[in-house]
Amino acid sequence: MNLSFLLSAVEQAGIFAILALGVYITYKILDFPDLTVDGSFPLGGAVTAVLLTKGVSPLIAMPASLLAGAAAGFLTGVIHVKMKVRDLLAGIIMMTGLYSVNFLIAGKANLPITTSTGMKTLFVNPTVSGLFGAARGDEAPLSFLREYRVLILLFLLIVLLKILMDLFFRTKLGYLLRAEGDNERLVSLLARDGGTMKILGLMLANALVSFSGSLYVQYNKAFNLTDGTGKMVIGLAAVVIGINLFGKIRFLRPTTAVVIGAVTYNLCVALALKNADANVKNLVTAALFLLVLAAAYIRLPAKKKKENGKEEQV
Amino acid sequence: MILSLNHVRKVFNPGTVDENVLFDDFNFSMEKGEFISIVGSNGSGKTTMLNIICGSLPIDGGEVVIAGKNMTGKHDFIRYRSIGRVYQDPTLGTCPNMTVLENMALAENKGKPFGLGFCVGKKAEERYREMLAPLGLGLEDRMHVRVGSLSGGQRQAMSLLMSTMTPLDFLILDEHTAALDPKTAETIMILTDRIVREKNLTALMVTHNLRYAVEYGSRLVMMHEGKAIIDIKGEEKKRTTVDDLLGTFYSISVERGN
Repeated sequence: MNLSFLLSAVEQAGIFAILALGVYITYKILDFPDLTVDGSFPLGGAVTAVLLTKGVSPLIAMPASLLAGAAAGFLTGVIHVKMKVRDLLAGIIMMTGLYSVNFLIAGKANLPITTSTGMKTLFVNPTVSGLFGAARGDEAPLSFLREYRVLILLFLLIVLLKILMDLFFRTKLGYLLRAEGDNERLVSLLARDGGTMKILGLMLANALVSFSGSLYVQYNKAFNLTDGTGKMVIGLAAVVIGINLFGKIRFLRPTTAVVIGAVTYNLCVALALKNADANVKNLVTAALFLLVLAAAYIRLPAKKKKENGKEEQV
Repeated sequence: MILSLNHVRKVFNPGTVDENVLFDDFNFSMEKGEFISIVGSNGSGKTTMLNIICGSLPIDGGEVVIAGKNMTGKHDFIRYRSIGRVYQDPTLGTCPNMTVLENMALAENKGKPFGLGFCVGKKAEERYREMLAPLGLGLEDRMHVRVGSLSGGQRQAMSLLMSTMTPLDFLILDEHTAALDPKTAETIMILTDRIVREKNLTALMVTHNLRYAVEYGSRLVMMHEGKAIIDIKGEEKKRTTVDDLLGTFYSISVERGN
C-alpha cells in the first residue's frame, strides 16, 4: 500500500465525516430516518458545480450549498409535519424529486470543474497556492506541507463544524432539539411546537449533508448526477460505528465519535475496494454496513437488548 | 373561574355502528385554589375530559375556557403554556437520554424563549440540587445521571417537580400514581400534596384510588357515562368515606349489569 492511496482515502473519509455529522442529527438526535440525504448530497454538489463553472468564488458557492440543503430539509420537514406523511416516505419523495431537480440545476448529468481554465475551488485557488505553493517545489511558507493541503483544509473545516455543533447542542434551542428526539410529549408540555423542532433539525442535517456534497464535487473536480447513490448508508454506518464503538469512550463527545466512525468506515471500504471495480462499491458499502450493525447488536449487553420488554434494535 | 367546560359535546366514532356519545352538553368548572380529585370507572370520561382540557382531543361542540380565554380548537402546546401535566406513565414526563441536570434546565426554561443562550447557567446546578433535595430521593447527588436509568418513582417525582417549576394556571395529574408500586405511589401522593400546598397550586387529579380521592384535595367528583354524578366539597367532602364511594360505585355497576 502506498502513501498517496492512504492519503486520498483519508481525504474522502474527511468529506464523508461532514455528511455523517448531518446524519447524526436526524438519525441519532431526532430519531428520524431521513432518506433525503441521497438527494441533498448531490444537491450541494450541483449548486456548487454550477456556481464554480460560472467563475463564482467557492466562498459564495459553499454557503449557497448549505442554504440549498437547508431548503431541501425544510421541504422534507413540511411534508412530514404539515402534510402528515410518514418520515420514511417524506424522505423517499424528496430523494426521488431531488434527482431531477439536481439534473435541472446542473443542466446535464456530468459537469466538470476545470481548474486548469481558471475555475477556483476550495482546494485550488490563489490563497492555497500562496500558502502551499502552486506546484511541487515552489517556494511558499508552508510548501513542506503541500502534499497535505487538502487534508489540512478538511481537518480545519471538520473541527470548526464539530465545535459549532457541540456549542449548539448546549444552547436552549439545542436542548429542545434533543428533547424532541427523546420525548416528543415533553416538548409539548414545555409549550413548544415539536413539529417546528423536527423541521429545524432536518434543515440543519441536510445543510451539512449538502455542504459535504459541495466539498465532494470540489475534490473530484466534477459533478455527477449519481453522486448521491449510497450516501445514506455511508452516513448511517459512520454514525453507528462512531456511537457504538467510540461513543463508549468517556472523554469523546458524540460528534467526535461520529467523525472517527466516518474515517474508520471509509478507510475500511477503501481498503476492501482497493483493486475492485468502482461499480462494485455499493455492494461492499452495504455488506460492511450490515456487518457493523450485526456486530453492534452482539456487543449490546443482554439487559440493553430487552430494555422495557422491547427488543432493542441498533 | 380558572377553567370552564361549557356545553361540551364529544362523540367517538361518529357515523359508524360504534358511535358513542360520551359527553353531551357537559359542563364543568374549577375555581382558583381548588384541588379536585376525579374518580370513576373505566370509560366514564375522566381521561377524555383531561384530554379535552389540554387539547389532546378535539371536541364536537361547546367550548373550553382557561383563565378567561377561549382555548377551543387551540393546539395542546399552546394550552400547556399555563398548564402543567403529569402522565400515568413515568417515562412521559422526562427525557430518558438527557441527564437530571439537563431535564431540570429544560423545565426551568418553560415559558421563556428557547434561543441560542446556554441552557445550563453557571449557578444552575446548585439551584437544582436545592430543589431536588427535599424530594428525599437522593436525586441531588445524581445530577449527571441519565434520567432513563432512574426508577419509576424517581422519574415520576422529577416529572412532578418539572411540571411545577414555572408559574401555572393549574396542574393536571393524570392517574399519576397508577403505574407505581403501592409504597412509591404513597410517597408520590404525599409529595404531590406537599407541592400543591407549598406552591398554592390549583390541581385536577384523576385517580383510581378512592382513598386518595377521599384523603386529598378540596373537592371530589365522580364521573359516570360522561356526567358528574357526585360533586362535593367542604364539610360534605370531609364526611365522605371510601365506603360511601364504593357503595355508589357498586350501585352504578349493578345498573349497568356488570
